[in-house]
Amino acid sequence: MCIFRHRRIDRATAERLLAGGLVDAPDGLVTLLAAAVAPGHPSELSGETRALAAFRAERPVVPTTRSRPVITKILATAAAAVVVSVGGVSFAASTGALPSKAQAAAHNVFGGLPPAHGNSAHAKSQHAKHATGRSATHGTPSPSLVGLCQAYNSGVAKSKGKALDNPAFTVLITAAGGQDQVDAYCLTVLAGHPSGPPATRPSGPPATHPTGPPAAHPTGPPVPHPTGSPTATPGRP
Amino acid sequence: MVEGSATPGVPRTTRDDDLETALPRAIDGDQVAFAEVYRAVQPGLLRYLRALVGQDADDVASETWLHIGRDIRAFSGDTDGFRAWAATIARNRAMDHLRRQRRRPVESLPGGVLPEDLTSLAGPDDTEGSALDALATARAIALIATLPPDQAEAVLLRVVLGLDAKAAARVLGKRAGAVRTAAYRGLRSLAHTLDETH
Repeated sequence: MCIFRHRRIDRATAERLLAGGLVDAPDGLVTLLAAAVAPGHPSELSGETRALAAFRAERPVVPTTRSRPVITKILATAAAAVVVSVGGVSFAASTGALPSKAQAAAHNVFGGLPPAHGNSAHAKSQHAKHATGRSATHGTPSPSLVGLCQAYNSGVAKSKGKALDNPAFTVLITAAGGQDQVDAYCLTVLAGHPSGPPATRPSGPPATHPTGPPAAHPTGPPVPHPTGSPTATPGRP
Repeated sequence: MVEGSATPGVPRTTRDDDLETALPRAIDGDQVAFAEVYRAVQPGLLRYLRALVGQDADDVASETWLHIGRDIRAFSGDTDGFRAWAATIARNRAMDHLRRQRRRPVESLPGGVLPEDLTSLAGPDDTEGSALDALATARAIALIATLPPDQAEAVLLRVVLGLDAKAAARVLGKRAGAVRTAAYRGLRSLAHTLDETH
C-alpha cells in the first residue's frame, strides 16, 4: 500500500488538491500545481495597455461592433438621440446637421427596422439603459440641437469634455458659441424645449436605408456571452 | 484555501482579494480597477490558453481582453462568476482560433517538454528569482498540457483559474461529474509521470 501511495491518489485527495487545499499528496504533484498557480510574471502581463484601451474605448450606450472605431459609436449615439427627438432617421439626415459618417452610423444602427414599430420606438429601445419612459419624441424648432444636447448629456456624460472633441458635436459647439458654453446652452435648450408629438413624423425608413440588420454579434463566435448566467448585456440586440 | 506561499501546497488566493475589491469598481468604469482585474485574472487565463493554443495564447488572450474590456460594464456576478465568464470567453476565442487554424489543440502544444525537464522544476519556496519561477510555471503548464485535452482543461480550469467543478463544467459545456472525473484522471496521470522521473 505504501508503495502505491505516491503513484495513486484517490478521488478525495484529488478533489482537495484541485480546490487548493493542503493535502497529503505526492510532493511532485503539489510542487507542480504550486508552480502552475504561481503569481503572474511580468511577461504574462504585457497586454495590459491594450486591454485598458479596449476598456476605455467602450461607450456603454449604443450597441455596435467591436471593430467599429470609437468615433462612430459616439456619432451613432448623437444620431440616435436626434432620431429619438424627431422620430426618424431621415429627418436627421435631411437637416444636414450630422456628418455623413454619423448618418451612415445611424442608418446602420437602425437598419432592418420593422416598419410597424417605427423608428422612434426602436431608437428608444437602443437607449433602454438610459432612457425609460413612454415617449421620447418631441417637437422643436431645432430638433438636431436638442438631440445633440441629449446625446451630450446622457450617452457620453461620463466624459463630456472628451466628447466635445468629436466632430459630431461641432454643430452643437458652434450653436453654443464655444466648448465651454455647451453645458449652459444645452441646459437652456432642453429646459425651454416643449414635449409633445412632432409636427411631422416620417412614416417610412429613409431612402438610403441599408439592407440587413445591424451587426449584433461583432466577432463571429456563436455565443458572445456563452455562460449566460454570470452576465447580462442590456441594450445589446 | 491556502493563504500565502510559506506553507507547502497550492497557493490559491494570490490575487483573489485584489479581484474582490477591484471587480465592482471596474464594472462601474474605473480604469485603475480594471487594470487590477486584468493583473489578477490574466496570468491564469494565459496559462489556460497556453494549453489550448500553445504559442498563440498571447494573441487569443489579447482578443479575450478586448471582449472583456468591452462588456465588463454589463457583467453582474461575483469574482467566481467573473473568472468563469472570462474563461468562457477565452475558450470560445481559442476554439475560434483553432477552427481558423484547422488544427487540433494537441498539435499546437508547446513542444518538447520532456518529463525529465520537470526534475528541475522550481518549487514554491524557490528564491532564485522571477525568471526561474516563470520557467517553473511554464514547465508545469506544458506538462499539464500533455494530458488529453479534456483532462488538461479540467485541471487547468480548476487549479489555475480557481473554478469549482460546477463552474468548470459550465465553461466546458459538460456535467460537473464528468469534469471531476477528467480532473481526477489528469492529476493521477501527472502524479504517475512525475513519479517516474524520480
